[in-house]
Amino acid sequence: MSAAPTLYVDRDTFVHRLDPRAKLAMVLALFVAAYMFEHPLAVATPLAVALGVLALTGGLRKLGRIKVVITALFLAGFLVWPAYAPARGPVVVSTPVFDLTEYELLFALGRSERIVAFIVSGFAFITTTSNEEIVSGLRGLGVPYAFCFALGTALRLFPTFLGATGTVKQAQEARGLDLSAGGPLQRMRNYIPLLIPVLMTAVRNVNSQSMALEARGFDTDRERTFYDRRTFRAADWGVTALAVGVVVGVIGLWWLGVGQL
Amino acid sequence: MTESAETGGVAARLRDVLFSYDRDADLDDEGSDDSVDPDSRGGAVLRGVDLDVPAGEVVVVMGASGGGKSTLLRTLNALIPGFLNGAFDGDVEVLGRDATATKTSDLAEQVGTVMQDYEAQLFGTSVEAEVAFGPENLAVPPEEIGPRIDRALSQAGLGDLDRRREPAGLSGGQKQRLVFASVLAMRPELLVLDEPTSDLDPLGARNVVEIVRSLADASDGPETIVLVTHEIEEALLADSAVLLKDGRVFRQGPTESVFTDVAALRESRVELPPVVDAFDRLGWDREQLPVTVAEAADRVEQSDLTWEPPEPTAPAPAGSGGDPGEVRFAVEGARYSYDTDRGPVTAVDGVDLEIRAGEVVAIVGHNGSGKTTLAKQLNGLFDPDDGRVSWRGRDVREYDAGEIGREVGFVFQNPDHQIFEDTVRDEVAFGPKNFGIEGEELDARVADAIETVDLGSLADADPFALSKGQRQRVALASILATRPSAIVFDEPTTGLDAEQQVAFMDLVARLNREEGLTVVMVTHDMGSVARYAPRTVVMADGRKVADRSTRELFADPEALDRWQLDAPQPVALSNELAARAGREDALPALTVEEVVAGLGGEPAADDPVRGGVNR
Amino acid sequence: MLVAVVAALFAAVLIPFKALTIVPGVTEIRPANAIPVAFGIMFGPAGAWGVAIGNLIGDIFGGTFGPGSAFGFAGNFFFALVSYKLWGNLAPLSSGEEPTMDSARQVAELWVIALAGAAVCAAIIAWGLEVLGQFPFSVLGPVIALNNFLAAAVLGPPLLYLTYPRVREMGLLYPDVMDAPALSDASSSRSTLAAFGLAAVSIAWLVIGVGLSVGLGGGAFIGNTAETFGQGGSTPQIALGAVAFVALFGLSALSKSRLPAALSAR
Repeated sequence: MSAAPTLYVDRDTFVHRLDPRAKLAMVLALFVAAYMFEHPLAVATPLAVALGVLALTGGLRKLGRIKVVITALFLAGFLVWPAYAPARGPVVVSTPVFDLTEYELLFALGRSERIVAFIVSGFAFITTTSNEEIVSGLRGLGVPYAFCFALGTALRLFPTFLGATGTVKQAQEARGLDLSAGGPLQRMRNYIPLLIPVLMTAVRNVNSQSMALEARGFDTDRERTFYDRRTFRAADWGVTALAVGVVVGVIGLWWLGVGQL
Repeated sequence: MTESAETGGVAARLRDVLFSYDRDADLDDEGSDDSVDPDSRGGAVLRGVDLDVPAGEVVVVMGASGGGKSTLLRTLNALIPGFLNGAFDGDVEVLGRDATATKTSDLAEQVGTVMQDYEAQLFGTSVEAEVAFGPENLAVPPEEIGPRIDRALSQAGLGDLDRRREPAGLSGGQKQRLVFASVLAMRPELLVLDEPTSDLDPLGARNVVEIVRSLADASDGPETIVLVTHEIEEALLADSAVLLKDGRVFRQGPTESVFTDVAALRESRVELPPVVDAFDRLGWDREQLPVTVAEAADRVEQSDLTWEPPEPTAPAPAGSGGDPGEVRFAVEGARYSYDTDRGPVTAVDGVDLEIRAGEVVAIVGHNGSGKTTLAKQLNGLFDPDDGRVSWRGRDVREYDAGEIGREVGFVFQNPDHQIFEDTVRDEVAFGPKNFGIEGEELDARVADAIETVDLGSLADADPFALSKGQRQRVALASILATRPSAIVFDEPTTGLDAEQQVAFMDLVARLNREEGLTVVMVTHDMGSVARYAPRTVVMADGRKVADRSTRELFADPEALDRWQLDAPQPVALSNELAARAGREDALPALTVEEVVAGLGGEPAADDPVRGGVNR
Repeated sequence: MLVAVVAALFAAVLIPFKALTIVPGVTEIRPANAIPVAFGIMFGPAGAWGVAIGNLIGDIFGGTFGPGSAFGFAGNFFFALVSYKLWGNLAPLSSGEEPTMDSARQVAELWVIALAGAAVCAAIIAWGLEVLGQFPFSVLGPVIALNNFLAAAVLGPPLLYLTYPRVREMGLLYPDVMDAPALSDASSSRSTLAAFGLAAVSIAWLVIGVGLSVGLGGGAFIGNTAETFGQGGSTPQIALGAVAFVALFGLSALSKSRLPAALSAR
């Protein structure tokens, strides 16, 4: 069983219908909240909001695909941060090697929760925004067309190359390539028979792609029009305003010391 | 579209056009008239082309591989000389503009281009964005783009497609139709088609042919269409045909008259339409030669010839390694499903199959029928979710990857998906080395395999620089060097021209006859199936729906239709002749030679296997 | 156009190799990490943009898209760009020939480039994630640098050996695509100087960043967030990054690639 590459969940929910720029504003607001808060309970708020959005939009199921990543990052953060936090407050765990204070514990928990909140918020954006919307959203924000074009084409081509990589792997394995053979260095070298055909297939494509682009009238120096029927509707303005409100509110709370350690 | 043809307008005019992909080539050097080597980019590809493309016509350009067909088309959309580096001389006038002084992206307002590799022509993240891309580039006002998208998608037969879908998720046939839609949305006056069906399965190709046919008849389509193709069925859509030879126009005229000009076709190394070939061998005059199956059947009826179908015991045209031996592959109740965004898809759904030593078995079926997935279970590339696949009586899963790979070779569709070493020799040695062969034994095997595929003189060449046909032979050699007793081929001839296809399949047939190699080939090339595979397995929706002798399978036109398989011309003709004679139970001829024999003629005296292509 | 293809490719090569993971999500030992060096040298700035976009798409499809993606983008961009700028400009090591990887000297040069590129990429990402308060600089910096360097040092030479001549034959090297002129003598010595500067800044940023992070020169561990704005790293750490970025941009602009000269000398 091979897994499908895309994380986008094709549904028709309120969130899906939002303009990508409005969604981006909301995600940024969640990022800011996760960034400004320190206390684990406070950081849990943006995390909970992101999880709620995922639950409403059907993205929760896809979260399973990165649960290993999330868990590993959470644990890594949790293990690392106590060593970098000031040893304030009462000791909660005492071992012959080190003491863990309450402050260190809460600090580490808040930091690793922040990592997870970042990822889950980003995840909520990815699962509700199609590739096309990502590109048109960036264009709507005034990102230069050449960049949007490159990103869009890359998004379009990537599944093709992913498929090619799978085929190359099969073709080499059929010729006896064992990717897991040898020590770490050898194992890395085992990827040469995979990397080269994929790279060269792509390089070969460059020529035909550039010809096809020329023939379609593509010329970055020339004036062009944009066909995009998307409009920024009342709901989008509402969400954007909410996002601004969240950012202002979070900064206000930070000023007041709420959610800090 | 006939009005402008009557007024004698010219869509494109080429005068004394010379071109070489080598920037420093000396174009005046016309002394050397040796035929152009398709693999060397050094020589001039166009060597003085004079051509008028009549406005309002569909014109097909044909010629041998490397003969400059695609290069010629690139002068019509100004990719040459503007975009591609090379040496150019001559005059090109397209729709009244001097194309040699126009940028391709400017000429794109009037000239639309569709090429072979649809993957390289799609850039959008949705169907709608893709079709809008061209008009956006031409600065068409946004409010006009919507109607253009509607019209173009319906012209390309994609009116019902969800426009938010990503191009990457479409089938090959849909992708190529999307390319058509994207180009048609630019409202070109001249449409240039460079082998638009080469990468498609028969169903996809048929759809594209229908698009071209309806464009030619439509009042709002492009006025003029210029097409390069290897497929005779597509060529016959054209009003007129151009044959290229050695970089010059060799013959130009109405399609029927060009395609019955056997001498000219042979000279320019273009494959004869099979019925033309057959009746030419029967000694008919040029004026009488039929081009289509229906014409051929009519003319046989009018003549004093009678159709004698092949005997049920008639051997397969390409022969085989003799009587099948013991069971090699045994597939029992195999099932396999993929996970996709839309949930799991069952690709192989309970297939039973036995293949014996020395057999040549074709696995056919349209795209998505499960044929490739089934084939990949034969050497353990996929393990069945359910059921069992065994090789020599032992479950494939019980073999080490090394063990099964050594005995069962697998040749993939695209040789570029495996070639990575810097010489042919190293590339061929990769497999055997992985299987622990070394020293003199390795050298001997490698040399032997390279010799077998006839690449001895290129052993130290960079495989990347070889032609597609040669690269496919490198891939085969790299499998042969492991000395397998069976080889599974996954559409090994896609993207090769007719001549390269025949050369490759002849080689496979020889290995089967002489070495007893067991051959399983997944293919959609029915001509190869008819000629090379005595037995055919048909897959549809993941199930095996037929498994019988190829001749019997082809005797049943309704079944072929049901499974969307196209009978090759010799089969269609002999079925038609049998039907007209009231002998529906008769078996068909599988090749041109058998058609000739059935009509009382002598098959050509050259290599029996080679008959299909004239060199 | 080249950028998009290169980007798509890097993303495509990256995802299947995500399986081999040390610290997942943030950095991985992955064969794909060899690509920035090779693509940077061959495709120059186009390759750098491609590698950066590819990394971003890798985040989007891998589900690890977040504020840190911006630093992954920048880090990989400079990984490739520094490689392009350094090739041929490291006087005693540089042969002045094309990177065909057929001599020990060329491999040695590539290793130095891989070290600088890996360091700058690691420094940018580690700095960014420390500022975001995700991970301390001293934890991520060395891990990313090592991963990048190992992949680039082990796979870079065979990758270039097998692709460079073929890409050149197809006329797709950056100087061929852009018709970049060969360097004049005057700008040549300046380029060499700037290249050494780039390498020095790359490696120094990583080393000093780690030092600051573990508290060298700053007294105790830098965890005293109360005295810094927001939740990020310490003020010296932020300042270090700002200075380093300015130096990177400036030196990149000053240093001209030597590849056009090597090509025209052929």
